[in-house]
Amino acid sequence: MSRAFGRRKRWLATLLGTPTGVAGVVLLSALVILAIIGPPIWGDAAVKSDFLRTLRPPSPAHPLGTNGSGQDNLARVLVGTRLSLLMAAGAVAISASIGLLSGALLVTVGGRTQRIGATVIDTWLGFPSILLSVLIIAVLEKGRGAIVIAIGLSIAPFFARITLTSAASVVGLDYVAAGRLLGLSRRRIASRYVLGTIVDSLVVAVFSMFGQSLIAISALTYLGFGGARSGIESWTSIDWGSVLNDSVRNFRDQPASVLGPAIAIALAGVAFGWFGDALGRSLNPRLTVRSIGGTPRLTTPGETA
Amino acid sequence: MSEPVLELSNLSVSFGRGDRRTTVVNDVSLCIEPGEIVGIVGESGSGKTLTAMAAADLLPTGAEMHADRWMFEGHDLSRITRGNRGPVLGGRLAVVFQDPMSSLNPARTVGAQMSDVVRVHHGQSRQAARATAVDRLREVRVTAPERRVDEYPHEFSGGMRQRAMIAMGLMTPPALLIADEPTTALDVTVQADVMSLIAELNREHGTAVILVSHNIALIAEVATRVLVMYAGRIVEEIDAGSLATSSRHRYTRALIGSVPRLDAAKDQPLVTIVGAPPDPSTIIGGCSFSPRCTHVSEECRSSRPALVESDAGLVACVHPAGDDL
Amino acid sequence: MLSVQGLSVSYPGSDVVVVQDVSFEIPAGGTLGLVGESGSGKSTVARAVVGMVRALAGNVRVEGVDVTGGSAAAGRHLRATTQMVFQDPAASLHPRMTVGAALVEAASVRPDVARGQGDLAMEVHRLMDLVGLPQTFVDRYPFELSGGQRQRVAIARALAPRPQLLLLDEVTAALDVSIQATVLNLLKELQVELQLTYLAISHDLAVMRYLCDSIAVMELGTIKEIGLADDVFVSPHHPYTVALLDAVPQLGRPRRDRIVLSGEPADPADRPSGCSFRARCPLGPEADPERQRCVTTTPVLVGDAHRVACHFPLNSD
Repeated sequence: MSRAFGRRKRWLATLLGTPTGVAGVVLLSALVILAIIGPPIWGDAAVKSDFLRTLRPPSPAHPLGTNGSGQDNLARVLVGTRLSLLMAAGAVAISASIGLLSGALLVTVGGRTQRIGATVIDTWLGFPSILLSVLIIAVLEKGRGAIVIAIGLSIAPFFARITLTSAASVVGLDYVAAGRLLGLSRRRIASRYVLGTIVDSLVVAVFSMFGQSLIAISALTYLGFGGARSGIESWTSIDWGSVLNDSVRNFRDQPASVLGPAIAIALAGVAFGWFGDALGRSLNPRLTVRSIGGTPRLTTPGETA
Repeated sequence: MSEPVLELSNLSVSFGRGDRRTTVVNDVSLCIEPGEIVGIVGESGSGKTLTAMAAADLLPTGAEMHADRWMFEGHDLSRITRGNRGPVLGGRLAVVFQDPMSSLNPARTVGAQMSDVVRVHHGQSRQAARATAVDRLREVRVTAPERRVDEYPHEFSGGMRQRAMIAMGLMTPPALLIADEPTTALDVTVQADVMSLIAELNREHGTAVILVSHNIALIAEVATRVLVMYAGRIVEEIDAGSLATSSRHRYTRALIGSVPRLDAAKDQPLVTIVGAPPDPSTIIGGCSFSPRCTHVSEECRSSRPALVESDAGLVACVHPAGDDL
Repeated sequence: MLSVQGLSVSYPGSDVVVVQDVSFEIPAGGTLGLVGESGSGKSTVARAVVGMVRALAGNVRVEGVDVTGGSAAAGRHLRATTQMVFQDPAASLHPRMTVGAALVEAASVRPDVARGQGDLAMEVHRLMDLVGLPQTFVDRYPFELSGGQRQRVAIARALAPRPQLLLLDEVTAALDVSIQATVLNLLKELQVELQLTYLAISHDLAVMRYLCDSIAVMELGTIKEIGLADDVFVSPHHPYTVALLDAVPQLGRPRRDRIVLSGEPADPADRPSGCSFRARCPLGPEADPERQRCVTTTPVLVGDAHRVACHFPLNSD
């Protein structure tokens, strides 16, 4: 249908309507592509040690130089994309599901339980998330799995808060009351009327939290919470935080090597935030209108106004 | 002959730049004589509020105004930079908004906020200013003013806040009071009270009033002169007394007919105006009301009628009521 | 059609009574208007009728069936017969649902009326016709419509389950004057066409005069005066009704001596003895010290068709 097509085009136009939106989409696509093709292409280069060429400065063969084991720094950054993104995805998946469920549960129960729950969430939120993660890791055991769980748990209250606040404000609106009066089922009201309306703020939250947890995870692996390196290294254990750790240790001999992981982490963090914001704008039809044209009313393609 | 309190000629207000520029008020001229109550009536998007806010130098950021002449009590405001208009307007111009809560500082007592104007402009002491505030609150029929003066805005009910806003305007009897939908959020009973208060202020202190409202009956009851605005322009200016019977613009007529009346026959359907008020960004050639008018002709669509004298005031209509086709 | 007997409602989670012992009946095809200031409890009555708030005491019967208890059967009966239109159409429509989707959803709650895709499409067509919306609007979202068009959608949605009773809660308060007239005319046409019964709530007495054939005047949770609109508006008995009517600005009516109320309505948490209106009453004990009955005795509704709760009613011969 031309109308559906028109809507889709508009949706894309909004997504790409701002410079940050374009940058977010481009960077994010690049990251995802890199995560897929990176390891097969540069996997070997990233782990191949060459003890004759350790800590070399940048050269055409090694644009960011080599590390203490003679491995190519650039290849390690490129290969590290996959694990960094996967860990962040794991943490966001954990936190979003815990947060969403607990937030939704509190809204459903309401009353005093909701108020108590909100207080718990706020206290949890007030706790510095890195500190909380370190504590959780201490309880579990050092390792990448522990980091993912720890970050997931420490940002879960963020999602709970967003779900609680936005759902609670929607539940009181007249259209939810109207839905109840029509006799719609509780499930339909919860999914279509409440969740359906707050989904854009949740999506924005998922992406901005993705970026933040990526940074936090890199910080933790940088600090060495990812566990000790085992004897023979495989590319599956390379992530940006550990690459950064490596580079910082050799900073004096080979300063350029820090650039790779540092830029990658920062850029990825920002890109997710930009993309999330742009996506949020395009998901919200009311905001779409303003960014498309001067008139606050949409006309359908093929419809004469 | 005394000079007008406020004079604005060919006022326009616009938002945005370049091809996104939207002019929401066009060619509006206002002349307010001392002691008169002028009503501006219109629906949403008519530009009535922006006209009043432009007159009060309170346009929102992003709005740009232009006027050929902008005089307040003999001072040429267009020659004074925005930051230096305070001494001219302060204490002489009071504004009452639709939502008093948004114009009162929630963190300061009502009395402290009322005192500001006399302490700044008249150098009154804190005690003297407080005493004046108590007097003014009593004047606007706030009960127990000695206690109320030390309360915070949130401790006041909606009607009381609106009265406190008027009392604030009264601290130094102003030359002009601009009231923008002052009673829209209030009950009819409180509305009647606030309106009688404004009328009293006008009577006793000779304060001129610009009253902005969507309620044509309310305007007709309080004002001496009524400006009817549609799509950013004045379409009719008429004596309040003649409004009910002798309005000539087709929009004014339709607007009056569309208001339910307490004394009307129940079976007679209300006059309806097809369509909705135009969005400010849509440009309508000719008369802006022509797409909704029942007396529209080709001439209405091709050229915009000018505001010309009629027997009851001014009217901008190609086919004014009274000389039907 | 609708019968409310001795209805009392308190704020959820508190014992402040906001509606006290309210009774009225609306015959099928009739329109009763509840008028009063904000805080008079008029909206709460409507919300209690549809079960959005629980009744403390009393009962609500729709077509003779008691719907007060909140049982599943009561709920089913209520939803099959009663719908509500809200004040602000911008808030009462799902922002993410097109007009068509909202109407399909509302129509599918009555599988006995519309079943398959074809049926539903026809039903949506019928509903849009009914409220005077062009069929091209099915794909529009609420934000793409004007206020009046949105309110038409809200009315169409309320009509979808084919109710007999429609609750109208300040349905024109958020609309421009010129739009209000079209919506009011539409409601009157629909009432005749579909033989609907209306319970209307508004603070605008002129709107109520146009829409209703009976009027109940509420103050501080109780009915002060009730009767045919022609009686209540033409010869009001209660000083409060007179004050309300006097407060309405009327085009072409000369400003005459009117009753202007000063002071605030009493606090429902601190209900005064006797008549709840006495502190503001221009004819009550504040003005006439002789009238101590207003302080000591709570007036009850008396009369036949036109009833008033006042010890010293006006205009009653």
